[in-house]
Amino acid sequence: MQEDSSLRRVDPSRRDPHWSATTFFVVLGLVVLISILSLFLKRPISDATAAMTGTTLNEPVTQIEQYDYGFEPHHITWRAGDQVTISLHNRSTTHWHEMMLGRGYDYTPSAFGPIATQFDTDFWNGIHVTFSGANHVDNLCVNKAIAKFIGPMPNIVTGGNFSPTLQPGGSLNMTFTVPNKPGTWHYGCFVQQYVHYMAGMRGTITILPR
Amino acid sequence: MSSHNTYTKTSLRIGPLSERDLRKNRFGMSLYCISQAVPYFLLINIRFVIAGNFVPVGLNLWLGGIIPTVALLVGIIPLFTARAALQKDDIPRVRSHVMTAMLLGLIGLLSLLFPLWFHNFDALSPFGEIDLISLGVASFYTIIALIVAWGVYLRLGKGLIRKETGWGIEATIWVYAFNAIAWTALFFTLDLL
Amino acid sequence: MSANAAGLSGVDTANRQRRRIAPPVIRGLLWAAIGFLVFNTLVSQVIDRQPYDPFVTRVSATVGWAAAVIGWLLGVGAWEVIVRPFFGHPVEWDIPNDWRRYFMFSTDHKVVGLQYIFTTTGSFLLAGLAAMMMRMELMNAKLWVFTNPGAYLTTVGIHGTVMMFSVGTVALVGGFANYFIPLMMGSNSSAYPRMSGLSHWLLPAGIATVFLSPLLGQWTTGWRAYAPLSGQDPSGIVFYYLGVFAMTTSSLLVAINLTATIIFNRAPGLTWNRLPMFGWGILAVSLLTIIWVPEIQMTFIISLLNLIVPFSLFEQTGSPLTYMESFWLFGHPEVYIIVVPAFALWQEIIPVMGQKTLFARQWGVLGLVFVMLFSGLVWAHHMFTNMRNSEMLPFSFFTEMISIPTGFSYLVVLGTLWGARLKFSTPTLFVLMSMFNFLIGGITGVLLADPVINLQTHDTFFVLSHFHYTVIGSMVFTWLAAAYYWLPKLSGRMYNETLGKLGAIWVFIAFNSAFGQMFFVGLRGMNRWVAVYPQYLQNMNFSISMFAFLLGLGFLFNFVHITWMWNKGKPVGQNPWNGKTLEWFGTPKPGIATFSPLPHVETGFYDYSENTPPTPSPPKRM
Repeated sequence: MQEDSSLRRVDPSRRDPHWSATTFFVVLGLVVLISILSLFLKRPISDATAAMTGTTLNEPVTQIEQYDYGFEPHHITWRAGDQVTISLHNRSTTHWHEMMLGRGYDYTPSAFGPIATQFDTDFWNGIHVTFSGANHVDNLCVNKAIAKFIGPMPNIVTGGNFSPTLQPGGSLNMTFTVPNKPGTWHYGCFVQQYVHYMAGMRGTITILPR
Repeated sequence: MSSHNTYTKTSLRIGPLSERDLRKNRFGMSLYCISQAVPYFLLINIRFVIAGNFVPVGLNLWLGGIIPTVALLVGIIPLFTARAALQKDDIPRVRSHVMTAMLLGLIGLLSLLFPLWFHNFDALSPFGEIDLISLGVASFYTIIALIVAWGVYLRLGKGLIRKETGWGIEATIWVYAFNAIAWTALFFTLDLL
Repeated sequence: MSANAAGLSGVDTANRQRRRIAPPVIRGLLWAAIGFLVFNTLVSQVIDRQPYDPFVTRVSATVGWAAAVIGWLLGVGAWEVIVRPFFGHPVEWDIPNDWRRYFMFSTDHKVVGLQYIFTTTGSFLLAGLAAMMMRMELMNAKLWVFTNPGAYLTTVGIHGTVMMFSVGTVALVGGFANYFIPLMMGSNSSAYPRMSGLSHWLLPAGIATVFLSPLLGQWTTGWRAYAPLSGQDPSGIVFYYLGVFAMTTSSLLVAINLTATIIFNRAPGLTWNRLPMFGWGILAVSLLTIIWVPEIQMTFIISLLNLIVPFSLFEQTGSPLTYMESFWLFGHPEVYIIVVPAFALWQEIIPVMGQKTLFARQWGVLGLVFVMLFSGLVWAHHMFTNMRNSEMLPFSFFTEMISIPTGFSYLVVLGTLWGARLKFSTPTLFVLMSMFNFLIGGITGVLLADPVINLQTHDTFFVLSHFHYTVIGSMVFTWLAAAYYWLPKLSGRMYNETLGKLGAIWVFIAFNSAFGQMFFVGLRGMNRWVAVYPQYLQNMNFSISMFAFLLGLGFLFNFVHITWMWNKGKPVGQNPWNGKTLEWFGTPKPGIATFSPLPHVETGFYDYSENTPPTPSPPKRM
């Protein structure tokens, strides 16, 4: 907006407005060049930097939301060797939800016929998992995974497959390197005698070979 | 002389604005208000689409509610009295009134920011999300209003705003009052309706 | 500081070594880099540390970007021209009278207009290059140019976003209107010159942000940023939201500035009845921008928060449909923001070229205004697949209704052409081609407004071709018409008529061959948003790609021709077309007031009837 009151001028000759053309074109050219290089050679540059500094590259976080009754997203693709953080969040305001990951079903006989209580093969066997940001975690069973904790310790239980169970509104981050177990894996919530799973609370993960 | 001045004569003048320029500036401010009212309409609309008219039990109506509303609305008054004082060319009085408005705006800002961190509703719920966004939007416009008032306060101190060149004060009234009224409408529809 | 400066005596000044300022653009880049580094580090390393300590997170990129844009704007000159005076310091900003003025903050509407013209042309070429890469990929049914579908979709998204927000919305409004609207109004300045200077520099920031979005990761949503897809991609979409925010803010500032210019900076005697058609068009577009751009900005801010906090408002667990509705509520008026200035320019150029009074001027104005009013009522036709049948009917009705005021624009031009001794110059040719193309775009638009056809062709190349006919076909062709039409005014030189006609025919044939075939490939089952498609479509796609490359070369030919003639063309008098609007009666030179004294308008601008005095004496006193 126009605010004339403030437009006083001083002697204009104090500074020379004829800025250097050379500086302008050289620096601008360099900036454009760097932008183009970083745009098209992002992967080689970051790989080289990581190799030089000895750090591993962080892959983006996989946000997984649990709700009544489903997972969002319900299909995920990972590549073996990637470092992945699952950020699990229970969106439900009323229900406890877990997330198991595996293949095949482990049936328990009952009066109503066999009930799948968990997967037969546990995906997490032997994987190094770092847990962080635990918040309203009801219990955590790590089974045969090798666990490390950053921040508040969740309530650890034993028995059954690897499964974090979140209270309504709870959340938990799990960071790990995707193992070389290519193919299709399933995840799901087996809480309340398999009813959540049956209602659609499940998804698939495609792991691409390295 | 190799370089020239880009400011044409009309905008170089320190003298008073012509009647036409004054109307032009008021028109510009009204376009600002019209265009910036649209985000508030959208927020209110989305709130009813996503959260219905649900209001959580035990919502703290004071912080992020009544206190900023009152502080911002009351803050408009000293700006008008500042403009009245400017007509009498009583600059110290104008400054103190602008300062009063800024202090009230600051109280409003702090009481808007506070519930962004401390609130007793679930942040990750339809109501909570839209309420937090609204608090953030209101804080943003309050900061804008404060910056405008601050600039005017400093220019008053340098003797650049006088009776004849009082557009700065009027611009502050526009921006400040727009923020206060828009926030009041938002608060009313979000927390009270 | 100000006291010091004011107190310097003349001798002191003369003795003092005059310090050369740093190139403002370079200073802007430096301040932007510093702003990004400081705020990004502060957020990612101190305030909001994430597990494993990444240096750039979604949150830190957002905050760092905001700091970078502020640093950039201050660096190019907003610090001296806006911020320091705002806090009561004197203005210290001198602009050399040479090419340097285009690379620094300027308040001269002619400089700002040329800056916009350069920036939009540059972004048109870059986004066009993205289109060429896409067509290259689609030459083959297999994935062969891009290594993965995500990279292809990101390219599509960048192409669409930049073409929409920095070419379609901006080229005619920010570029030609910033330059010519004050001239047409008989004024030496736009209404708010400092705001106008600021608005241009937001545009390159936005364009760079969108082009660099792959640095943060892919995004597969296209320029529509559909939820919940936007929440599932890697983080590139963060830079989409931020870049679009900068570009749309630029458009918003231009709209406010030009509206006030048209209302308050009219020369004495330039009544509403005499307002040029381009003025009406820009007024209509500005009102659309002022209403709808803040709407989409808020929607995108909510989407951004959705992504970085993260919330779930627009996620699958929230309400993705609300996002779509909010988006298309803006998205359809956006189409008219692009097209209305083109309609207005047809009505500006044809009477001059035919030397014939504009036919039914009032109906032309009514057409522009009603297109503007209806544009807010048609948006849901983009989402027929998400709606109940009963909800489709009103939107289908209003969409078909909008062809009536659009038809006014056609009838006004046709009535003017009727019996005119039309000068078949390059601008005329481009306007007629533009009308033909928009006719095709409009007729297929009526088809698409029909739910039966809409549901069948949803997300196919039929739709894609339809909106390219409306955007390239009308707006880009009219953009070139305006460039040729006003070249004598911009540069004082004339283009080469043969080369100009060759360029027009070249792009017309290439455009219609490429996009005309897309209707048919779409009807045969070619989907949008796919890098890989069934083998049976390959022949037709190959042929489309060939014509697309030809079209790209054609645009390049026109730009090279215009640039060449800008510098080397034959010098020409100040009114070669014998136009009557005010811009032809001044000699605009950046940095110098055009009209001195201000003109006094005594008749309308479109009256070529017998009794008006012949050229060169204009029908008004200067």
